[in-house]
Amino acid sequence: MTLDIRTIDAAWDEQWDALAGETEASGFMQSSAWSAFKRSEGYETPRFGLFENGTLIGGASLLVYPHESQGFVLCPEGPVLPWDRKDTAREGLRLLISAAQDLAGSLREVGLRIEPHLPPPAPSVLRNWGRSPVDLTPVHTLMADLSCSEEDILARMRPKGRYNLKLAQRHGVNVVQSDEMRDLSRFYELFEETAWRNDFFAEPYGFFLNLGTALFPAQCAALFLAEYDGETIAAILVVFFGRRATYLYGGSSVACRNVMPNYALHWAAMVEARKRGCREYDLYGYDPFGLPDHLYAGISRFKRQLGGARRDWIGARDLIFYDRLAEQVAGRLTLTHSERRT
Amino acid sequence: MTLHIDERTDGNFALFIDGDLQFDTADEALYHEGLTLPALCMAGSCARVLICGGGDGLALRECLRFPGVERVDLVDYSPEVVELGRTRFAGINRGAFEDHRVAVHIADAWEQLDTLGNFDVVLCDFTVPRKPDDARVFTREWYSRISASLNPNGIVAVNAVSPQATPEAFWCLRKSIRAAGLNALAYRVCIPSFRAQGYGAWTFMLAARRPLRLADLKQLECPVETRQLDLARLYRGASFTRAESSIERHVPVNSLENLCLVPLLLNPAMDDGRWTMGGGRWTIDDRRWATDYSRNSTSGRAGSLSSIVHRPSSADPSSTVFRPSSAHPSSESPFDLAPLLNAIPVTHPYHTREMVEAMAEQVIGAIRSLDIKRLVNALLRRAGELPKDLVRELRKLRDFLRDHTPSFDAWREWSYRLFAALVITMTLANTIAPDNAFAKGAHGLGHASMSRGYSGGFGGGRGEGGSFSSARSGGFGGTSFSRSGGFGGPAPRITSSGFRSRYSRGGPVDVYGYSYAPRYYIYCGGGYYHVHPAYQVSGGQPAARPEKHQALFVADDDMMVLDSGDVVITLSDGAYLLVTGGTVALFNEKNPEPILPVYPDPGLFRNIQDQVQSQQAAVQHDSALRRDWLGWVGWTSALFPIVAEDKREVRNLDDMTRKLDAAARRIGSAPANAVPASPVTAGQVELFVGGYLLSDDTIGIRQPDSWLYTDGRSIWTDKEEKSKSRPCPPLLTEAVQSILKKLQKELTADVASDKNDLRELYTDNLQLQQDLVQYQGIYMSSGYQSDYEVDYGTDSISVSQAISRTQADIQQNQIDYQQTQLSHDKAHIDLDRINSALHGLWR
Amino acid sequence: MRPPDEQHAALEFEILAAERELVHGQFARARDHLKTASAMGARKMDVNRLHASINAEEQSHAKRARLSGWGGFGIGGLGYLFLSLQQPVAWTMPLWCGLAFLAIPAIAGYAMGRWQGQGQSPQSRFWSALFSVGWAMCFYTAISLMSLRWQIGLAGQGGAVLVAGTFVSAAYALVAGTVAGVVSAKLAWHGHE
Repeated sequence: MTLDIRTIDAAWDEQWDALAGETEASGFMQSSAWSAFKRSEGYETPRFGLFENGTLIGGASLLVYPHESQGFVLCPEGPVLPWDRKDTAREGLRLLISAAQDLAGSLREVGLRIEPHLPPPAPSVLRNWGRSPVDLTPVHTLMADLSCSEEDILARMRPKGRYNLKLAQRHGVNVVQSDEMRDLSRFYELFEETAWRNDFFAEPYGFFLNLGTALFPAQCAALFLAEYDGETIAAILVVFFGRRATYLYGGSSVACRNVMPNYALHWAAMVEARKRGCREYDLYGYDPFGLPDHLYAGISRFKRQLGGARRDWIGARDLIFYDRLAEQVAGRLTLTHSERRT
Repeated sequence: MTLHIDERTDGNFALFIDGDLQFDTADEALYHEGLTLPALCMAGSCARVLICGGGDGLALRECLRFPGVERVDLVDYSPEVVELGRTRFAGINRGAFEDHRVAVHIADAWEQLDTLGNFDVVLCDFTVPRKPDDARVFTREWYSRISASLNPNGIVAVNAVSPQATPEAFWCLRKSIRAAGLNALAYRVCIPSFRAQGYGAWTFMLAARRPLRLADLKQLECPVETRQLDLARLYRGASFTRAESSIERHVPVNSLENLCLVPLLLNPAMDDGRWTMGGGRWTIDDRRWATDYSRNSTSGRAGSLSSIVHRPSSADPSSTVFRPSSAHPSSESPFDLAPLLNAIPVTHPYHTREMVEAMAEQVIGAIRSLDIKRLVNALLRRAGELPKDLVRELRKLRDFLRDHTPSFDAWREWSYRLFAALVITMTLANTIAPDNAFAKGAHGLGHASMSRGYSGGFGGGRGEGGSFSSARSGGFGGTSFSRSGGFGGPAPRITSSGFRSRYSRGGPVDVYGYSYAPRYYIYCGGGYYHVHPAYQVSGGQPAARPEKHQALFVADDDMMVLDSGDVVITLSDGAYLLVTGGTVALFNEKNPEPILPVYPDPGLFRNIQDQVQSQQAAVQHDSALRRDWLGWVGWTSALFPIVAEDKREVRNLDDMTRKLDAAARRIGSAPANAVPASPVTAGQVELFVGGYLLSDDTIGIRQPDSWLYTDGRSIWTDKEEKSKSRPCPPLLTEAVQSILKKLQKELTADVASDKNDLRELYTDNLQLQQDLVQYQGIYMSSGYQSDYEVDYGTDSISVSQAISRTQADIQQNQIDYQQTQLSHDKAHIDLDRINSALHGLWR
Repeated sequence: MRPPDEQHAALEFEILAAERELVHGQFARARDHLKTASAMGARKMDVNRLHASINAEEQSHAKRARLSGWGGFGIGGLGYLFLSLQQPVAWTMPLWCGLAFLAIPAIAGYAMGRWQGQGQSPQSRFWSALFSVGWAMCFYTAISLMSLRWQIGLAGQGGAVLVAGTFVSAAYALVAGTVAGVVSAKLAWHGHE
């Protein structure tokens, strides 16, 4: 077995997306469309392919935010590795670390942060990796299975979910699917209102403009807008990549809550996801315990009605490049010290 | 780069580049006339014009219609924008690109400038920089190069930034232009679409080698008609107050080795001196925040990191740095990171200050998993760069680590300076990437908490405070509020703007000045003088008329001081305890009359009085200061709104003091002979202070002179026979049920979360054990060669090291497991009891 | 021609008048008298002696007048330093107003007026007292206000606070300065005019 790692350029997009999209521990954040989006947000997105005897078996699409100060080399929802082949995974990861370290050498980054979607416990190959202070993607999520028939998907929903979906359909909530930039403002208005109402941080409009510009033409994302009485009353943004569709953002107005537009939206998104060949629908984050102060406390009850099964991930892990960190810390210590003396 | 054209139904449209508005056709003329015409008018000649950026062709349009313009060079690095300029925008730029006088260069202006010759007018129409790299064309070096390619009477017009939204960046830009040896004249132009995006009043800057005076703008004579801009009034936007322009003195110059414009754009109002530039990086000038902090500093060595990060008072490092952790009484908070965390800058437009602070607290938790030994060794490899005393400190730390298991406490106990520098470095590293603003993980930053500025606090978790409703420990029952958590910040104080806007709006506030939704309680006065007629013990007075009282001050999630001076402790959605006049009574929210008197527990009263007093002290301090201030300036309240506001604020504070005074008096204290409740015995669950779920599922309530028992159907006291029981009023049953249900819900969540943690810890442990066995196997089969290389995660280390590290991991895992197990067991036992009660008697 | 005795008496009178004016600091008048005396044939030595002492006295007066500005500022400053031991509210407002706007400016103004002597015109005594005591008050007010506001916090309203503070400082300085000026101009030499 010979493993080697090298940078793979845009010519590899198709092959890379096929591989990353089918790897369970990976996700849309490894896709080339997402990299394009992140580039427009100012990131550098180096990508490495891991080759075994010349065949692409893994790799990582990395994010580096160029900055005067130091940060982390990020690998959200990655790296793509054959995690079940422990030794290959270990060797692959080592190659990746050295590649990232070379990258960090020129960029002053203090570590590598990965976030593979592996169920706990963390594999022993990550023994020397520390738990990150922050996870980019939710650690607990609900995953609806789409590999069965539509009837089965409905059957797996909670009765109340099915009932509310029927209710929305009976009320005549009309769901429009769109990947047009001009519909973004309709979505954003609702999203912003929801963020304001529920007091969470809303990504700025520019973020969605960038996201739409990169993901819509690549057929990687779509908006679903619920219309009722001639008005848009709820909207969600769903990302499709490989085996999984992910509900990423949503918003609704308080006005017509009783016609249950959100159920109709998610149902439409699930149907569309099946059409696009996705086998899972990730509801993206929920609170499995019912803790009153949990981040997803409010929306969890709604998500549970849609019939997903709980999935846990090990969360983000950091590998610190100690020499780089020491350099930064030393710089800071020397500075405060010399200032004190002056 | 992403381009987006936002089309509107009225035919107007707007161009966004990377999410930033470039122009809106509704008012773009304001911008482009404002940028180009004053420069063209004031230049001696305008035969040769250079436009840097501006690929949309709109500034070009303005130049071309100006008489005397013979040639215009346009340099834009984005072919996409220029293409749009040629096609989509041809209608609004009047086909400017077709003009024979125009030469377009698709190139980086920075590279191209020197090849283009000299100009009479240069227009810098760049987008506002978002990354330090983009700020290159806003540096002193850039302007000197422009100055060099300017004809003697030439003039430069620069698209600046808002002096309103980002004053420091604005003055930094002006200073940079002046640093290049040019004279600068800035003028504001109000562009409604920019304002709508929150960019504030916009500014352009003229620069020239000759002096530029305000009068030049006043006497502007423009040979062409303007569409939207009123050139005659332009000069009005060109004067700045002395206070505004004094900012220029403090800000650095944006230069190639110090690209500070973007940080200044992102950190407006951080100009209180907390930041200085050093080596082209943002670093903390601890002298300034030390002054803020010196009041709390025991060491009194203001101006050093160690005075912020408290160290034991002795100056000799050998005796202080190496004190075992037990030498620190836990009550004396070892050090406070709050000022440090406050000073970490925001590095991206998506981030907010609260996010950065919340992140810093998360980082402190995560530093636990760092390998101190490796870091210390890596630092010592750079010993040459470090101050000597620090190297000494580090060497001793290394020696200590050689013989001891590194633990989290080692960081805090052994080298505060290192720990502080590490926290800053790691927090910065974590906040660099804008995506962290949107972190969705439960482990990460809560969105809600970030936008509100409240953070759970490291080490806050499940505290062991005096518990009022103690089935879930921690404060008054809920999760406790602790901003600086385990690092014990200074006592909470009302922030200066705490009440100003919120106090009179009706909602209660807490010590941090956050306001809550208004809450009302309707009752007839507390105490057991007016208990429910059915339980009047003796000498009851007729119940007063029910009154509605409003919550005034939130001491903790569950404790509120009402405007009447009474204190309410919320037990559930339906039940609360009212504390007044040395008495405690249980209420059902549906009924204004108390259900039962409850024993006045001295601990409860002490706790409430402490809370009220600390709040009172804070309010009084603030009020006295403001009163002194008003002593000076009070008579000008008719002239200055801010003084009038201060007057109102003092009235509010006085009102608050009166009410807190009243509360302190009204609450009273427990009778002198009152005894604290004995700790709960096995099988009992404390529901609230004085209320217990007993082992036979009956509820025991400790009353002033007896114990009252109820099974939901009847009630009896310990002085009476159970047979003499009276029927239990439905209000009491309901209240008990609601309390039980609330606790059930909370405990279920706690147990589930603990169970999950336990399961994960257990599987982790299995894995660790497996690894250990493997390492030991390798050790044996290698013939007990301790330096035999093995895989440890992605590291390769010697087998003996791998074994010892795995053992240490196992040990830590077991400690975590035991702690979680304890908390789980306690919650679980209580939950079982509550479940059985809710299934049995309290169904 | 007056008889010699009478002329001698007139001469003596002029010399005495010149000396009196010199004591009172009225140098111009003293010179006038001396001039008359000289014209009347006073002894050269007397005239020269007197002339020299007028010049010396005038110079020292001018010096004192120059220094009196700082003196007034110093007295005012000391007074206000004493006042700053506690805040106006703690002094009680009437007492504080009395001390800050009447007592201290009056003492400083009186002292200044005396120092400057009658040689200075009341107008110049007024202005110099106004500026000296005015600045002392201005510093006292501005420093007190700044330290107070620093403790309260600006809450993002630095601009408005600055305007109010500047206004109040200027107003107080004007009042205290005017009082000092009036005392210096009118009261310092009231009995001697």
